[in-house]
Amino acid sequence: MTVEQHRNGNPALLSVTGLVKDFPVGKGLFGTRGVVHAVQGVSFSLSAGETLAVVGESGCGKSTLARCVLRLLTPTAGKIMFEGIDITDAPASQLRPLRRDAAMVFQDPFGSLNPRLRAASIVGEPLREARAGSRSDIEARVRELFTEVGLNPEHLSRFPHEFSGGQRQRIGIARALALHPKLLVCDEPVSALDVSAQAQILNLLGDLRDELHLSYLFITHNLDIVRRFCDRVLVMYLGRVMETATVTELFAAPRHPYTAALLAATPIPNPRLTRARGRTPLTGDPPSPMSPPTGCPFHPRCPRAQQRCRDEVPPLTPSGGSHSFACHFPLESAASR
Amino acid sequence: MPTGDRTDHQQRDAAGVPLLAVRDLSVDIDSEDGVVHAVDHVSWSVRRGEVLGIVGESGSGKSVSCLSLVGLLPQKRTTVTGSAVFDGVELLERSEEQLDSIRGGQIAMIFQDPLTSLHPLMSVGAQLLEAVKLHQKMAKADARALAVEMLARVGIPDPAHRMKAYPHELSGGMRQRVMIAMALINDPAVLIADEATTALDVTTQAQILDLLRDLCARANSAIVLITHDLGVVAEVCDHVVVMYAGRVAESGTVEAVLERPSHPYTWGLLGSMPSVDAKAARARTIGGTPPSLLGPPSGCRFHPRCPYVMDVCRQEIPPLRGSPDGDDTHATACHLNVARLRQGAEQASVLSTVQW
Amino acid sequence: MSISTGQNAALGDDVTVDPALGVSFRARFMRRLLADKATIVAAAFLIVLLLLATIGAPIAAALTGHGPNQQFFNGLNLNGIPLSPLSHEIGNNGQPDPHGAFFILGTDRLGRDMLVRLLYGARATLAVGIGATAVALFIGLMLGMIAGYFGGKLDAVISRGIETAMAFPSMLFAIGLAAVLGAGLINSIIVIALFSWYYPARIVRNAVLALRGEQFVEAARSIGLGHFTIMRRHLLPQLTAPLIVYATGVVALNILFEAGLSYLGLGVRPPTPDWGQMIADGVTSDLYRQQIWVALIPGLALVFTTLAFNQLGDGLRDAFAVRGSIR
Repeated sequence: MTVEQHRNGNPALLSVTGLVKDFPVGKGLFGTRGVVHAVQGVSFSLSAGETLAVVGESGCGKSTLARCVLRLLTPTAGKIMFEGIDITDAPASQLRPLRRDAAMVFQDPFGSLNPRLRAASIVGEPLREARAGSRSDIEARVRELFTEVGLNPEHLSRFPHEFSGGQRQRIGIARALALHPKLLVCDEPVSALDVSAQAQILNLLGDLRDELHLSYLFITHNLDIVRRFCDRVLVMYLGRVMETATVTELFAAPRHPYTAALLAATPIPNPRLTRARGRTPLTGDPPSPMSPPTGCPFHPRCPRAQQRCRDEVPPLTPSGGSHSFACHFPLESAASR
Repeated sequence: MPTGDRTDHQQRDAAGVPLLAVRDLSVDIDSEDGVVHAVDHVSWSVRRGEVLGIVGESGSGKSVSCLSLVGLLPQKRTTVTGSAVFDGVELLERSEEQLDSIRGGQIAMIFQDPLTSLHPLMSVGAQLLEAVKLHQKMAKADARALAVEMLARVGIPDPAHRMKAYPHELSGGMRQRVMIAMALINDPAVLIADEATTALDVTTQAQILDLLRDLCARANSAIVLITHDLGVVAEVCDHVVVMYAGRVAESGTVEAVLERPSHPYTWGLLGSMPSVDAKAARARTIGGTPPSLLGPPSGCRFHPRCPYVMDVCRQEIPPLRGSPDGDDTHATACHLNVARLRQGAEQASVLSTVQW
Repeated sequence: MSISTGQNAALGDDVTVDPALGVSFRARFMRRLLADKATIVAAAFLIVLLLLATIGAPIAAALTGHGPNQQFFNGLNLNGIPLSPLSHEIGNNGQPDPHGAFFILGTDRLGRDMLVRLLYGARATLAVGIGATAVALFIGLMLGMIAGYFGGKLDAVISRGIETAMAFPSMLFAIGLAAVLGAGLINSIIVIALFSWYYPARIVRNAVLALRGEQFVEAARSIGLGHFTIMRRHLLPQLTAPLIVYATGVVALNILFEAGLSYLGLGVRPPTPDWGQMIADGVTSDLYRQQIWVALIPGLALVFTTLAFNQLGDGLRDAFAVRGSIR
C-alpha cells in the first residue's frame, strides 16, 4: 500500500479511484429488477487541509459518493484509500480508524438528531462508543465541544426540538468533531437553513477549519458557497465527473458546458450584474439515473452537442495543472479567451 | 373575463392604480400554544405587468400574508384585519363562494412542492380540464385544446400525449410547469408564486423563472413572487418587499433595495449572501435567530439582533418611511432612518459609517 | 475561539432559547390528555377495575362472607332459577329471608354470588388479556424490528410469515390448538399470543422501515454503532408511542378472544370464575329467558372493559399525535 503524493506535496488524505456504486431497483416477488448507476467511475484525491467541493444537481450522485467515502454504503467497484488504508471492502471491525478520523455533517437539522435524546447524549455518543475516557472525561469533552461550536453549555440537557435549525446544525457539527477527526464530509450542511443561519454555520465551519486543521469534502449544489469556502471543485452530472479544477480556475474559465450553464443559472442578488450577464438556459430536464443517455450524459441538453457526444463517453482529460474536464468540445480555455 | 370589466380595468390601469393593493394587513392565528401574530400591518401593492418579490426567512409571514388574501388559511382559527383590494374589490370581505370564483380564476397560486399540490390520482389533463371548467364556460373539446396549448406553452414536450400522464410520472421541473399551466390557463390577472422554485435544481429554476416572466409579460398579468432568495429577486422582480417577523422592513424597486439597502436586516441578508462576484474571506452575518411570533419583541421586532439598536427601538415600532436615497418609492422601517429624516445631517453620518 | 457575532458583543447564537420551542413533549402530552374527558373516565374505570380484580375481590368475599365458588342452596328460588340482583336468599317459607345471605348482584345457576364471581372473574380476563398481549407485543416487536431494519430476504421471509399467519381464521385454529393443549390460564395466554403477534409485528416493521432512512440513524452508523445498539437506543424509543396506543387496542381484542375461548370451555378451567364462562352459564338451556342477569352482568362488564381500553387507546393516540402546522 503506497501513500499517494498529492500535487502540492502533501500526502493524500483521501484517494478515490474508479468508484462505482449501483443500486438495485424495481420490484420482483422476492427481489429486485433493474439497476441505477448512481456513481459511475469517479476518481479524485483530497490532501490534508484541503476543502474539496463536490457540486451537482439532484441525481448526480454526490450524496452517494459521500456515503461511500464514509462506508455508509459499500462501493460496487473501485477503490477508496483513507490515510493510506484501503477501506473499500473492509469489514466493520477494521473501520475504526475511519470512524475516528472522518465524520459526517448531515443536511437535515431536524432529521439528523434523534429527537428523544438530549443534546449532551447526542454529542457524547461517539465518545462513549469509542470508550474515550471516564464519564467525567466525556462530560468535560462534551462541554468543550458545545462551546467550540458556539452553543451555551447550559443548554446541554435540552432536546433537539428546543433548538433552532441553525443551532441543531451546530449540535451535529459538535458531534462530528467529538473524536478529533481529520476529515469532515459535509452533505449540503446549510441547504436546509435560513439565509442568515447559513452564513453563521459557514463561518463556523471556516473557523473550525483554521483552528483544527480540518479537511472538508463539501457536497453542495450552491456555487456561491463553493466560491467562498472551497479550494477545489469537482462537478458531477449523472454519476460522472464533468470537470475538476481549483475554484479560481473554474470560476474564471469553465471548460465544460455544464459548468458554464450552472454558473449562468446561479442567481446573484445584484440586478445590474444579472442583467448584464444574460444567458441561454438549458433546454429539457435532467435525465433520470435509471435510464442514462448513451455517450456523454450531458449531450441531450448541451448546446454544443454533436454526433460524437452521443457515441463516445468523453474521458476526463487533464489540461495542464489541476484543471480536468470530460468533454469532446470544451469551451475555450482561459489562455485563449 | 367579461368585456364590461375590461373597460374598467383599462381605466384603472391608465390611472396607475394598482391591481392588487394590500393595506395594513394583519393576521393572527390561534395555535395550541397561544396566538401567533404572524402578520402585522403589512402594506404593498402590485400593478399589471409587474413582478413583486416578497422576501423573508421562515417565520417572516410572507406566505401567510398571501394565503390570507385568498382565504386559504383555516377560517376558524384565523383573524384577518386590514384591507386587500383587488381590481376594485375588497377581498377580505368576500364570502367563501365569492372567493372560490376569484381563486384559480383571477388570482392564481402556485406552491413549492408540485408533488403534493397536484392530485396524485388524476391525470394531468384531467386536472387542467377541471381548472378550466371551474372558471370558464367552454365546450369540452375546446377546453381540451386549450389545455394542450397551455402545456405546449409552458414547454412540455409532446403535450397531447402528456395529458394522460400522472404527476408521479413526471420530473420535478415538469410538474412545476404543469402547475404553472394550471394556474395560467384561466388567464389570471395576478399569479402568486409561493416559493415555486425553491425545491428545483438551479438550472431548472432558471428555466422556470424565465418561463414565468415571459408568460406573464405576454399576458400583462402581475406576479407576486414569494421567496427567501435575493438572487431570484434580482433576476426576475421589479419591486421587492423585505419582510421580517411579520412586518415590512424595507420596500422599493429592486435596484433601490439591493443596491442601496437601508435597513440593518437587509444589510445583514446581503452581507450573509455569498456573491459570485466577490470572494469575501468571511461572511458578515446576523447573530441570533428569528423571534417566535407567539410573543414577539416589543417595538422593532428586529431589535434583539440589531447591532445598531437604540432605546427607542425597544419601545416604539418604527414607521415605514422614505429612505435616504431620495427615491419616493423606497421605504424603510427603521429608527435610524426616522432619526435621519428628523435630524438630517448628524444621523446621516451614522448611516454612512455603517458596515458590518 | 472566534464565533461570528454582530458588533453587539452580547449577541451570539446562544441567545436565549426561544420560549415557544421549549414546550416539552411531556408537557404537551399531559395537557392534551387531561383535556380529554372521555379518556380520563376510561382510564379511571380501568384503574378501578384493576384494583377490584386484585384487592377488591378478596375484600368483597370477606365482607359478604361468600366465596367465589361457594354454592348457596338457598340462592335459587323455588323454581330453581337464580336470584336477581339485590335479593336475599330464599328462606324455608319460600320467601326471601331478610336475615339471610344478601346477594348484591344476584346468583348464578349454581347459587353462587355473582358479585364475588364477577370480581374474581376479572382476574382471569385481565390476566389472560394483558398477558397474551404482552407476549404478542414482545414477539411482534422482535420480528418487526428485524424485518424492518435489515430488509431484503429477512424482511421477505418475515413478511410472508406475517401474511400467512394473518390468513388463518384465528378463532377456529385457536379452538383446535386449545383442544390439543387443553384448557388453562397459561395455555390460553399461549394460544392467544400466537394468534395476535402479527398485528404489532406489521406496525413495528412499517415504523422501522420509515425510521431506517432518517438521518439520525445514518449518523449513528457513521459513528460506528452496531446494528443492535442502533435498534435499541435509536429506534426503540421512537416506537413506544405507537406501540402503547396499539397495545390498548390489542388488549381489547384479546380480552374478547379470551372470553370467546372460555365461552366454548377452552379457557380457564372451571370452577375458576371467568367472564366468558359466566356468559356461557347464563345462556345454557335458555336460562336467560328466565333470568337475564346471569348472562347480562358479565356481558356488560366485558363491553365496558373493552370500550374503556379502546377509548384509552384513542385518547393516547390523540395525545401523542404530532401537531399539524399552518404551512
